[in-house]
Amino acid sequence: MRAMKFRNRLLVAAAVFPLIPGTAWACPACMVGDPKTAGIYLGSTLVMSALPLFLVGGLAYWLWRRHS
Amino acid sequence: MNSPATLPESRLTLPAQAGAKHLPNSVLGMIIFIIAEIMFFAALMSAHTIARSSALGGLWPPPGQPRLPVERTAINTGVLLLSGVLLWLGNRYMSTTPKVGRRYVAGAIVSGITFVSMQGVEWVALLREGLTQTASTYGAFFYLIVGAHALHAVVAIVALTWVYVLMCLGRRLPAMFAATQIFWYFVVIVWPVIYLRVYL
Repeated sequence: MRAMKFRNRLLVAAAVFPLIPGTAWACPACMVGDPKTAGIYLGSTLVMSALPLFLVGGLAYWLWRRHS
Repeated sequence: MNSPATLPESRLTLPAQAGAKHLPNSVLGMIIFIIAEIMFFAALMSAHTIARSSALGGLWPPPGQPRLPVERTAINTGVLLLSGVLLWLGNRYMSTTPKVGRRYVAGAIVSGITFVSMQGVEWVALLREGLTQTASTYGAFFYLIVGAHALHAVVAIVALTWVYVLMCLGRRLPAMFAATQIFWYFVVIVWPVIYLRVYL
């Protein structure tokens, strides 16, 4: 019961935590003047974040298909 | 039925044991290396895209900098793509008629050398026009990205030539040929992306 309470508090805290930060002044995507450039920053960030996952995941899936 | 001794030279799958799909270490290693290379070129392209979008006044190329030879490089792109097709044909024919297959591989090597040579001619012309690596961000990105690709192309040509010569001498190198092919296909496929982003 006590563990459940602690877990629920932890979950609420985790849900609220992302709402705390405001604009990150050092972040180029937040602070760039031109909205088009900000979009390009965001797009690049998304591509560069997703690409390794996609590539390694694709390789793992291909190897799994080969050997299953 | 094919025994290990009579299997085609250039298959990606090698017969380690009957019924088992054995992936050669060199091929797996090359695939992992290519993944790292894709990330490397993606990082360069990403940096270039951001620099281009945040150029002063939205002017790209910056004023006073020479324009890149778009048309000539389009022809050169065709030569490189042709090289990829020739290597693919070489791989196909290698299993049935190795002599014809080797001819296609030789054609792929010659096309690759032509591509790199034309790039060299283009670089000399651009340097004469004043586009250097220190002239502007435009020049720096151009030489960095296109130079990195050219370096890969040279290494791939050397590797492909080496494998070709060994195959002509009668050596059977299916795994090495497959790994080299993968590297060359990467060089061929990444170029149109570079062309579209850097030249256009």
